[in-house]
Amino acid sequence: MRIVRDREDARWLPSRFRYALFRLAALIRMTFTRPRERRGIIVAIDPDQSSIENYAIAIWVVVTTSCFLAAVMPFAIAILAATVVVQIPMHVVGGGQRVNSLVTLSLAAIAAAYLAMSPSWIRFAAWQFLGIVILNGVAALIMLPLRGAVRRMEARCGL
Amino acid sequence: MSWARRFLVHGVAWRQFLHWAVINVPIWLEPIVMAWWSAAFLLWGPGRRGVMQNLSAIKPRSWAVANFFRVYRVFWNFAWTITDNIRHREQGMVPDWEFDGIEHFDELQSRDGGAIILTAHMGSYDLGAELFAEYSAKRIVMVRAPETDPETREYEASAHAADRVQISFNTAASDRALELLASIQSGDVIAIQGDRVTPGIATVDATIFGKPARVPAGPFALAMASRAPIYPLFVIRIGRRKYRLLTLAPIAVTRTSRDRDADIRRAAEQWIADLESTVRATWYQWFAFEPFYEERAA
Repeated sequence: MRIVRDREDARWLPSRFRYALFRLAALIRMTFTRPRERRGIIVAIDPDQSSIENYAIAIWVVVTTSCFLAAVMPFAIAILAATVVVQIPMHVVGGGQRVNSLVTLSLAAIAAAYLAMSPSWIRFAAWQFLGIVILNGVAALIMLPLRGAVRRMEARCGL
Repeated sequence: MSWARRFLVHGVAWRQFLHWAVINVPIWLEPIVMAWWSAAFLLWGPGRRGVMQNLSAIKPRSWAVANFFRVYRVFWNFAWTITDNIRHREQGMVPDWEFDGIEHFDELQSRDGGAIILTAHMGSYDLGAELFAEYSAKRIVMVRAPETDPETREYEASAHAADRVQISFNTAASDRALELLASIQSGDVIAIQGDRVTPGIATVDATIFGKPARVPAGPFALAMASRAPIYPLFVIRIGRRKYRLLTLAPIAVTRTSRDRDADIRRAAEQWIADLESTVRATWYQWFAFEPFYEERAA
């Protein structure tokens, strides 16, 4: 595990984020952040380290799944049911973190593709899910030529 | 029925399930899983009541219904810290750290002789010990109470086998005392939890949050015998994968009179003042699931 000591701005290194949209946002933030030294902090460089990213994805997936489930049940119950439904794939597949994550998000994308044709308001939830997936793809393409910039930022933090 | 024991609170089944979960739960799904399991553990009556009783002492004017929701927050933090422990052990995950009282921590690391770390059941003391082992040249020995369930004890022993931190289990008042004394004299750091007493160990009568309680006498007796200082140190979870290591000013346990117990009591009072101020500020992660005092009839 790579770590950075005594550098507060290292929290915004893109390498601390997994998904391209968040990595791009972190890169922009880091570009405009001045180096800030602060004694007595250790910042771990791990793509799963960001709280903002992980909480945001958890909320996004649960809210979207709740909207999908609202097609067949009241929305209040759908929220509770969604928190259970999103856990089912990992118990069925059991293939490790990465595989379970991929399967769960793929199933959500398949559901979104199907419900995007729905005549009810649920199609908007489906479209926003697909829209964010596409945006993430675009962000990944933007990040490709910026790998050198990410490496320079890491070097600035002593990595 | 021995298989049913596995599903008791101190049974091995939960640890095995947690191990499975650490490997299989997608990282972004963790908050949802934690929320459910924290709620499920509210069904654990003795633990819930224990935390509620402790909260009624820490927050004397609090309402029982408010404390019920506070118990959920304690369980939520506990779920995250034990998960972080396993993730560190299994996947090498390192959380972000902030040092508070770094001058005391530096002093502890750089001093010539051994020392005693007195800590509490807060945040992740296992992660704290691992951090210390990683960044210090000193060897750290953790003293802790053994698991009550034999299968769980065996499981924990094998899980900790590869740790760089040596673990010593305290089972009775005089057990390990000489071994620990020799360890301090050879320059090791001994980490002991000073907020809970286990049956059979020597204790000091104390008042914690205005309630009559007891704290272990061992750390103070050890400090007096070895002339090593006691560093109150707390590992506090301040967010997802983010911890604060709070090190307070050392407590010197010196013999000032013929009354050895009075000197030990004086040091214990200093420790209790540190413990109270830390727990008051971070009650939501004091993982004391048993009441620290006995409720007496009026």
